[in-house]
Amino acid sequence: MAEPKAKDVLLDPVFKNNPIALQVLGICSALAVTTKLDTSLTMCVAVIFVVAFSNLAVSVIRNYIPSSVRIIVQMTIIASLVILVDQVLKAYAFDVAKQMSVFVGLIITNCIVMGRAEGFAMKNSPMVSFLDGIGNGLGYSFILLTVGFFRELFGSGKLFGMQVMPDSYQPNGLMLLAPSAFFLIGIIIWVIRTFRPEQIEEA
Amino acid sequence: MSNRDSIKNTFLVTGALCIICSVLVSGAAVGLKEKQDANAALDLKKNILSVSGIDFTDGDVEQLFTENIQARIVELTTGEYVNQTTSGLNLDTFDVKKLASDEMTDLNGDDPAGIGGERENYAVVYLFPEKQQLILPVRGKGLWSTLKGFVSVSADDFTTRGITFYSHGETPGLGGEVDNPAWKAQWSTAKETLDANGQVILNVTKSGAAGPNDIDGLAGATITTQGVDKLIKYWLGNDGFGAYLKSENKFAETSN
Repeated sequence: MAEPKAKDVLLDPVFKNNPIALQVLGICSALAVTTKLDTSLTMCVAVIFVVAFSNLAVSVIRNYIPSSVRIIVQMTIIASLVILVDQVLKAYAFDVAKQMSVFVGLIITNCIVMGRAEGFAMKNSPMVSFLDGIGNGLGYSFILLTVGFFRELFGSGKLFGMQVMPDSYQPNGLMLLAPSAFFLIGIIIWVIRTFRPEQIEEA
Repeated sequence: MSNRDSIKNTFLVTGALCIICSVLVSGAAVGLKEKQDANAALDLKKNILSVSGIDFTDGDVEQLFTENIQARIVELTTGEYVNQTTSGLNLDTFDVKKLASDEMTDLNGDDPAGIGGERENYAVVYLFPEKQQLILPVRGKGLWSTLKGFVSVSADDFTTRGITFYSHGETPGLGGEVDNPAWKAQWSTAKETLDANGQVILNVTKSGAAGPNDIDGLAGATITTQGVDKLIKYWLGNDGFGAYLKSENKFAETSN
């Protein structure tokens, strides 16, 4: 199997093979933390960190992992990294961490992380796997930040907590509820597939 | 490849991984503890300021807290202030977890708020003299977790001034809505808590806030709503701060 190119693994997941838009993985957290941009951004950084380093760690020891317990081994690595992120957030970004409550811990069950560890890092060299983790994290972030941008803008008339809409703007409460994230992700998928018709699935 | 899947290798790899991961996790937990504790203490002060209705968004939390809020240790049975508990804990060292066993009252199974079977004999209350408010610590069981927070009442007629929960693990979006400012705002509208005999009449109901002593519960969170109802009834009642609420001169300068 030919080694994938560094640039491809880093940039492909953003548009061409986006984990949320094409594979429709990791939706749950995309609904939960995107009511505001600052929680979205924190989540993105946390996920990029976890995917990149779990990919790296899994790839480094991929030739030693017994296949019978490989999922458990991946899970242990991912869980440790997530706890690490959670502890750091509680120490340095307490208010944001509090708003995100259980969703930082739930990165452990984020399908993207597990999917990349099992599907990519088990077969590829550490450096490429690391880049693949960052790439998929960026793809996830791209969707999260887009959704967060529209939800905060129309839901509270703000961006990063700063008022941007005129005072006469009546905030749309629906945007703060989870269903609006479904609508937005649906629209994003529609737009991406309009420009990249090869992503459209057979009906 | 057979060597990789051997029992020996399986134990070796999983064992080594467990050790590395546990070192990493415990290292982070211990190393960051001090910083996290400082954050938690600051968060507690923010909660006390917010339940008192003091806006701290543009100000220095520590400074606003020192200027406006005073802390006192109350002996719950008598309702009197004390300088320290019988085991010698004072305001700087007080922690419910550090109280000696004879400083806890066994509830003998009568534990409506679900506070763990025994109630501490001492509690730290906060005073906001400018607005004549008493800020009382409350806790009780919700659906998944113990809700810990503060309720603020007027010192004159004991009507509510605010509520806040600084720690809970209720379902986000349902019971977690105890953090919703719109819900908390109901508590700042002077709801009646006690009748003339000192019985708690405040209800957190799911049938809507009809009377001056009703708080509208949380939709979709029946158990959390009942938990809040019970913990308020408990802590404002005679088993909780009842004796303290009836005591005189709560704002006296010294507590001796």
